Amino acid sequence: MRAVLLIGSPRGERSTSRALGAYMLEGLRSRGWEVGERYACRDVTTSEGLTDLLAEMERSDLSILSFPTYVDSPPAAVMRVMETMHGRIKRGGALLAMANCGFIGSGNNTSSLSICRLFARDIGWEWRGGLSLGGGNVLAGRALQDAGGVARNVRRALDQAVSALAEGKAVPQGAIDLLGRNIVPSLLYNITANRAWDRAARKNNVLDRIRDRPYMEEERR
Amino acid sequence: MCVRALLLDGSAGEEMRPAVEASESALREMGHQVETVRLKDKRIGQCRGCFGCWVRTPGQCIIDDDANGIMRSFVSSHVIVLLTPVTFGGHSSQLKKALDRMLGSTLPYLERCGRETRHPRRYDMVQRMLFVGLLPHRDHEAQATYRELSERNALNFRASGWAMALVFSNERPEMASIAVREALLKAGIAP
Repeated sequence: MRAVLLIGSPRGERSTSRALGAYMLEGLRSRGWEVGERYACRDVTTSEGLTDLLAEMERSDLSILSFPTYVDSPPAAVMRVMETMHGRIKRGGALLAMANCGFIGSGNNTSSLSICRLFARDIGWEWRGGLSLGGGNVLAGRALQDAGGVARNVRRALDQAVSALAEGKAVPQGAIDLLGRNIVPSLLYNITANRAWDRAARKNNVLDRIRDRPYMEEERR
Repeated sequence: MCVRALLLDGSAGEEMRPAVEASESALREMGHQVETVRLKDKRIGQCRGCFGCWVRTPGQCIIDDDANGIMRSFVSSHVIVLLTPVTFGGHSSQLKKALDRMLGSTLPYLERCGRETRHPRRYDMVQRMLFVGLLPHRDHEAQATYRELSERNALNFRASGWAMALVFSNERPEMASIAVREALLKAGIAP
């Protein structure tokens, strides 16, 4: 059996999307699956890349799409892959989608996952389920094995998901619910995230300009 | 006061033309100043997810392309109309590419917004949003997903009013005009 991970984050190897997907691939590999990885943002830039990606997805028994939610839906590169696959896919397959977002509530990925489910429906693929993680910034692209206690529930949820997927089943509701829990308390997350943005701006010497309105200023001139 | 309306056309061909023309004429009849951007004719790179528009060059994307001009219009328009072929219940990749690049219109901070968390607006402009989706035929699942996405987008961009209009390729063109006009009223967009 073969699985391919399609990483939908423009941050590529450094992304939380890749960290989550790589953990699942490792679980499948340990069960004897062949696995491969592709990056949507690179593949959509050339027709050869898109063709190779489609061929790899077609010859895989399971495609895992892992991406960050941007403006309530999958990033543009992921939508481009979906548009290209629609009408060109000739062989059946199965899709699992896994969305993460910067807001703490995993409910912010709902639209993203609905779009992926409809994509699977429209190309005639089996839908193996949608996994949703809020507060993805906490993981900051770290390998889940190295992320300590904060990622305990994430690892448990993905372990449950991999067990089902390896047997050709959809992810169980228990895994979806477990991953959907707040990774840290929401108030703590928001306070910590806001301080982190200030730190990042200070490091770049722009903290005093973080609320700038460059285009409004141009208008006034 | 002159009301500025920005129309972002996310179609790959001419399929959105009846909806674009219906939106333009309805807004012009109300006396609004209309700018239409055909995104497929623009040079817009993908968002790199670097957050440079938040913590490196606040409010401005580090990629130098046509998305910066669109951002200028986006933040200074009172009405934003997003037109797209409904793509698996979502926006087309063309429209999505532009929307992903509008991140800098918000601030990086997280704040409570009702029961949700959202980013505060960078600009004070009070905006209303209209989402116009084209479907080949009725598809209840895709329609429901597009409606949910529109609602979430309106919340994300902190629109003061919003509405969605669905246009179907298998219906007469004048139906597009009716759907758009009804949605404009529902979103509170008036002369």
